[in-house]
Amino acid sequence: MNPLPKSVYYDSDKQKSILQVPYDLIKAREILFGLVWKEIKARYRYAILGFLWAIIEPVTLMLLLLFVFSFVFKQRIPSTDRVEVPMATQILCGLIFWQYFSSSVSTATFSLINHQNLVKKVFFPREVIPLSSTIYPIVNLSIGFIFLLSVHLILQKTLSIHLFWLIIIFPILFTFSSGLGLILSTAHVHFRDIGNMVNVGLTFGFYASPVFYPLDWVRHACENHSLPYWFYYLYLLNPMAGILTNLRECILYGQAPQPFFLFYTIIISMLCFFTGIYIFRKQSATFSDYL
Amino acid sequence: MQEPIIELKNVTKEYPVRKGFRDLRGQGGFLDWIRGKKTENFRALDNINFDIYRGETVGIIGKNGSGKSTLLKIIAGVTLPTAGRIIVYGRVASLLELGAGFHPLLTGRENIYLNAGLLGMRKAQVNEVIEQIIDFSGIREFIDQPVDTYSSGMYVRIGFAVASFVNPEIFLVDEVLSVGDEEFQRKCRYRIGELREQGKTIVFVSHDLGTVNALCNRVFLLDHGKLIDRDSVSATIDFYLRQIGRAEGIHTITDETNNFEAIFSHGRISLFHSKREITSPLGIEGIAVHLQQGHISSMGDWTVTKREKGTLLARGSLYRLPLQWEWKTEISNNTLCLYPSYTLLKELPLQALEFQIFLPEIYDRFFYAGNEGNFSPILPGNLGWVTMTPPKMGENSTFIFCEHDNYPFLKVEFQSEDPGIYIRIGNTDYISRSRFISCHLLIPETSHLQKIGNHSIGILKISLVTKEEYNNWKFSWLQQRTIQLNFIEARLREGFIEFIDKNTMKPITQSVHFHTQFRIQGMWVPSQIFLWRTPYHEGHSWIMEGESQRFPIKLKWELTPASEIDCLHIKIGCEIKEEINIEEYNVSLGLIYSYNQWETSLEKGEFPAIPPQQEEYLHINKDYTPSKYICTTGINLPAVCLFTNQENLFRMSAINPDFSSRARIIQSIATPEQKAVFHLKPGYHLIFDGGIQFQHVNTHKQDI
Repeated sequence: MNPLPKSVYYDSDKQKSILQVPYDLIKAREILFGLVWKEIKARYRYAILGFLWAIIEPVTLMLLLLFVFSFVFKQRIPSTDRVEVPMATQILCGLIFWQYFSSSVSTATFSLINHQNLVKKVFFPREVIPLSSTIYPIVNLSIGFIFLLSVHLILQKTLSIHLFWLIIIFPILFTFSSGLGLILSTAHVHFRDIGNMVNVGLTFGFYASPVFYPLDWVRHACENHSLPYWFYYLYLLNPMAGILTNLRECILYGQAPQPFFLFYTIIISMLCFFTGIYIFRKQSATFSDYL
Repeated sequence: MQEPIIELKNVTKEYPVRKGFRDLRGQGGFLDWIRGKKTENFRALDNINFDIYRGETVGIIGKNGSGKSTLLKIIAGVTLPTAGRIIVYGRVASLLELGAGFHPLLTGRENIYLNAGLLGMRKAQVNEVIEQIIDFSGIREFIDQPVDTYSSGMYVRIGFAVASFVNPEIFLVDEVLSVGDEEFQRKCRYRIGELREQGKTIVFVSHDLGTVNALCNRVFLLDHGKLIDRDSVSATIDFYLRQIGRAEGIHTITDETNNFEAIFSHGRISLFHSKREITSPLGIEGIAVHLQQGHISSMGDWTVTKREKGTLLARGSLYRLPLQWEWKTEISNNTLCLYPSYTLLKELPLQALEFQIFLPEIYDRFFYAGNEGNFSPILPGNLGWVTMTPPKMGENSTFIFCEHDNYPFLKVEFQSEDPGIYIRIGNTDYISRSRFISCHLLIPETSHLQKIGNHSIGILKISLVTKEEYNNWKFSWLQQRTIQLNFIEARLREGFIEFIDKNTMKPITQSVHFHTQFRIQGMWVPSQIFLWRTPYHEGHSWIMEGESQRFPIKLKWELTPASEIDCLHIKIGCEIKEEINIEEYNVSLGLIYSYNQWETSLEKGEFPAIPPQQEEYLHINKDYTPSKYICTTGINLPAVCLFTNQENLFRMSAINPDFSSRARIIQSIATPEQKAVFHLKPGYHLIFDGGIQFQHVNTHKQDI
């Protein structure tokens, strides 16, 4: 028997090194997509309505919000000086992207706990687990997005070339939620309070981000001095404000994204992502001790 | 020089001590974490160094909590050492994650893909072996059902099937063999054997020391996170046994001068010589047989009541019988003495008590009841126990030995005042692979041993002896049972006497040899089935005493040699305890087939050849008038005469037995003439007074 080539399968010294991450992830791509595929299959296998749920949920919420804003608070809605875009698509656009963000962050946070039998027993790059929970909701998002485009097309009869900005804006959303997911899942392993905090935080974020109202409303409120003006800048610190506004700009208004928001969200999401990768990698090797 | 496939360098693993909700607030909590305060840690592995080479099977043993699983986790890459480094040069699959990561809602097939992917297989590779995996799991008809409809057994089967087909170089096995049914366990063992044949590296954690011993090339013992590596597998296992002995309720008594130790553990005794176990893992145990069912002493609650340097007193009540053992064990002068006694809490129809001693397969020779022999090899087809020689009632000692320096000769002796003792030796089945020595004490019906109260049985002695001691013993054993005549020697056996021509050292008797038999109630009772004591001297005579188990008869043979004339005078007395009717009795001598002439005072003749179809004894002489002697001769054989000093009692007869015996028998038959039976009253009766005379070939003489 000729000696086999000495390939290192596992070296404990390299496990904590950040440089190892891309290499590991490339090697583990099949595991990553296997996990995503597993989630998709398991979720819809016994649901009669199947992928329709990806639409039913945001539409129901949209109709509810539309009812609330069109009839209950009708007089309070400030008129905008821009092209009229129906409230329905505005809300729908906010909702499907917010839902992507919130479901990926919350499932990522709990993902290590949910997959603890894997983490405790099998060796593979652990990044795969939270990443799979931020990739999997893309399926729902895509279905919702197609639905949004069809509704938009029916109501406005036009689609803008600026849709291609999505190629930049969506990755920003993805890296931001992945980064948050990595950080929060790491923290959740050590401090189980994080899970509850995330739930509270996401509910808070739902109202504190321009999900079911456009950003203009906040600006109007501040300009009308019903709120102090610094509040508006505080509000803008939330990267989701920038992301959702830019998404609306290019999907609904057919305009280029606002450059300030674009740069700000790119910086924040990158920062978030690399911090996430760093913290996760440093801690991941000993996850199994704490689960 | 082989290259290591797993390298561990100064590996240390510490676990933080976690304290529940205080994690966020109190000590070891969030604030401390931010301040960088260290909390106390539990050290699971302490500076472990070793290399594992390609193709090795390595066992890791140790008590619970000694760090075995942590070590396996570190090798599997599931967790990282706190300090030190581990490098693994090959794909690892651990059989510890059977079915881990199965999603209950997915089908078996989908889960195979998923699980194989987690173990590092590409989808294309899985496509190649998927059919084999399904076949191996043996649940093809359910493979497209979601796995939450599976039974737990099917779950494990499919997990194992995947793990064994992902074809990694290193397998980690963690106690996995203890789950699943018998068939699955066998399949697993078989598969592990196959993997070993294929040159895979296997790291194996188990409490089953037998399996570890059988499978592993090397064994690492972990003790509180430290690695203890003895040079050989068995030495490490011995050390481990010793170690658990110290920690738990297991007791050692030592004969320090001779390096002989006995370890008592819950109704089981294991023997060690020079730190090496000389009994097999089953050790020595006691069995109480009740209603055809054996109750093993280890199936009981044992407490050690007294323990000194060389003595141990242990009490144990069996779980399923109202019987309380009390074992007193002493060890000194290379001898382990077990004085078993028991207390019956209620009257119990016990049938027998047994003490079974299990020895490793390496012991391959025995000496029992005058026969020296080899144990047959234990083959995979041996499903039951095999007895090596027919057990002999009353034979209370045996030697077991082998030509191996590390295993001393053993003498097993079972002494009891109760007569129903015998020893059985043989092989166990292939799974246990041991030699057994089973010391039986039969308990007759209505014996006092079945009554309520305390009964002591006797002594079970196990001694380590040297080869010289054995040879001396064997010599004196034979000596004690041999009467030297001029050119004939008579060997006293259990209920018969064998005669040997000293010139040729060949026996001249065969078949029944010299014996006596009675007809009682229409049944022939030969002296061989009596229970015989060891012969002893009385003046010039030798006395053999045997007792019937069935009839109230005790035989006493008084043998007086007249060496110069090659004559052995024999007096057969019989002690009767109750009145008994004996219909007929005889004293016979079975000679080898070459004897062809016979002669009495009344007639003479030749023995005809025995035809193959002959199945019965055939009297050859015609005249049955009582006479004094019968002689036989053969070419180049000493003439043999069976004579009696009693007048008009014995008819002398020459007999051809059945074809299979192929012997010549001369017999003196006593039959009552007027009365139909000999009516014997209690007391001593002389029933035969006579002897056997030999004459050398050249000086053939007819008269005495």
